[in-house]
Amino acid sequence: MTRKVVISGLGVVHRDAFDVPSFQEWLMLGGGQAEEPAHFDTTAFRAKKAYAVDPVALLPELKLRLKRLGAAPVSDAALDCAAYGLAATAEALDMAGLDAVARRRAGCVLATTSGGLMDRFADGPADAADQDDVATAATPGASAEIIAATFGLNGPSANFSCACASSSMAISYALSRLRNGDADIMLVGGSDRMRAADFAGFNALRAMDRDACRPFDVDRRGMVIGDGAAMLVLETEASAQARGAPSLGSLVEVGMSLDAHHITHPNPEGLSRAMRQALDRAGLAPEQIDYVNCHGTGTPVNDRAEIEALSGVFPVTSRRPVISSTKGATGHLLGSAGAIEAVITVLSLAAQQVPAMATTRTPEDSGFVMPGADGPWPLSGRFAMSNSLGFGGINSSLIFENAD
Amino acid sequence: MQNRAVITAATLALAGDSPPSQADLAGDASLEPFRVERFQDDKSVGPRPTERSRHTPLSLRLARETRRLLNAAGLSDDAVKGPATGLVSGSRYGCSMVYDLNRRLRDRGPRGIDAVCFAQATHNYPISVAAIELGLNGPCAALVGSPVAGMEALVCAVDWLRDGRCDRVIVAAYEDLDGVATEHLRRQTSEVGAFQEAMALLFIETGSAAERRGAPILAELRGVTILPRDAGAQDVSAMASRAFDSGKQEILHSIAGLGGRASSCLGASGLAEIALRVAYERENRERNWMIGAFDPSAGGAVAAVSVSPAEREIAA
Repeated sequence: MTRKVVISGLGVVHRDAFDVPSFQEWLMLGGGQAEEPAHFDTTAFRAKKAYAVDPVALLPELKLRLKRLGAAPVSDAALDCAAYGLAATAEALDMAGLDAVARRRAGCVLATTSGGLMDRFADGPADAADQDDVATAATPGASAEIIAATFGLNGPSANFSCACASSSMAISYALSRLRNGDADIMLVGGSDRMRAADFAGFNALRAMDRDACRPFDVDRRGMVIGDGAAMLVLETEASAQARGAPSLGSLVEVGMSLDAHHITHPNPEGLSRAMRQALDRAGLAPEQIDYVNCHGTGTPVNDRAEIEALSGVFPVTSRRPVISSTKGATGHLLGSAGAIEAVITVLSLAAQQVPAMATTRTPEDSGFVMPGADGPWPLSGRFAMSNSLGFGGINSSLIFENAD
Repeated sequence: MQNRAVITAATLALAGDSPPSQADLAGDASLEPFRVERFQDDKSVGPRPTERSRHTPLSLRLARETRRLLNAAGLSDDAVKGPATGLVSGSRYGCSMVYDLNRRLRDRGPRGIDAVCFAQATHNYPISVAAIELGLNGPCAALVGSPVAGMEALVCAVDWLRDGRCDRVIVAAYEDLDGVATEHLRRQTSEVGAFQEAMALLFIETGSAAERRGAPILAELRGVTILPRDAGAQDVSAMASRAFDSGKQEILHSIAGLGGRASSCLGASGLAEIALRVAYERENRERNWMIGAFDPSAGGAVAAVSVSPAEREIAA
């Protein structure tokens, strides 16, 4: 029999909110506007704005959280690499009520795009005093190693880097570890630090809007990238009940597929397959899904493909879910996007409302209900879906259920 | 009932000496100075014009090794096309284009980064290109950063088969030690150690899929287990007891990293060792192996592998 997997903790670090309650409040009101990042110069780029966390502003709160949880000491380089992930993890572990003993049996699966400090390592002088610390934190899997070591998470670990589908693939791996009995508690999420190279790349692709990301808007012109972290504590229901841990909802199923079509242009058939697989495996009919948190990057190509895929899976003749993209509020967190959107989906189910889409002033006629720009939209169901699409045509679809 | 997983083809490419030997795969780091063997890209067999715009050297190597694997498995492109085939990769350093992007920006400014080189600078680029060329629509993932990433990729593949997500998975483990990766490796290993670029591929299928097409089975995966970061030999023994009838059968062990050996293929080590055992060093009787990789910073994974007798071998 398949083990039921519940969510017992959540953590978020975003430019405008360093914890879940303030993030949820900020998000439901429509989020904030993109601004020029504080930690690198964007004057040479066509599009200059982003949702980039100020690492200096986060540091005092992070140090308090690490101290409260009795975490192991962290070097400055490790903080540079994994501060966002460490802060979100501390919140999620705290919420789940995991003490040092329970944490020892928990696993840690993370997602990044490029991850690590390899850029700093490559640019740094070989004789710099902290170059050994930088080297230790340089590989793409460094955040996972730092987080596992800092909080004493000795269970299964891994790091996924599948472009913007990284987090949802990490979540699928964590789900398997729990269902297969490799662990009964898994920390899973994404942690990404924005780099000038990411900024340059999306500019080169002409995929960035200069002002705001407007998902599913007739005037959409592209994405705005962001960084930060989001973590979920996944746990078998039996473990959570034995610990008296909170259940914030459950992760029901995951669908995965590959387009095999184009590196940067999605094919609707691929996403359709992922959504159908998730529904079939969950034993759910499409009309049982009340809300879909779309990938919704705000690029003309992505949003068109996504609406086409959704239209195929959720026929117009049956009750269709509310859909939205939260990237207009949060920006596109790249490797962490799937994790922060999973958190948003769980929070939306719990609150029974979908965040406003403040930047989508003239929504296209998609055939789906979307929240307006001025306030949240009410929900009334138990199940919600969160979709991620990555470069290379990787698709995944997660289904969550509201807590009883 | 869970689907049985079997290996029906394996390939292994190692920079430097060929064919691979046990000494290529693992060695005592304290005995050697720092040395990195890299694949020599033969310009005379470089990408055809149609491939040139699409491939990086790494993605081209993976595409070619994937073809070699399919040939060894006796499968055409059409036979693997569609959602029944998945693809997963594991690598410590991943795709060197990701690191190259930072240097391009530093050296040439924003104009040094074009859309093509940016699209190529993701760690899943090599497997995504292979999937596009072969028309694979099953699950796909890239695991990067762990010293045992190749074995983690195998765990992922076995998950998919046992969950019934697909019938077959191409599992790839590689190291691409270009520029920054080699500099980093030198720093991390205190300038001592011998390392090789490598690319190991396994073709794993459900037992029923292999039987349906009459494919010779090189080995059966009796189990795959995750080793925690504080694992010891007892964890491996416990797994071996579960996977095999250990009272009656001899069980051999080869776990890179667990005995203090430095693994020269980094994240590709465990998978390279499996490929070596099931396709290159087979004997005329069944052999039961515990093969895997372990690192104290990341834990590890071990596969219980029953290698079929060599007389049932197909060309590897």
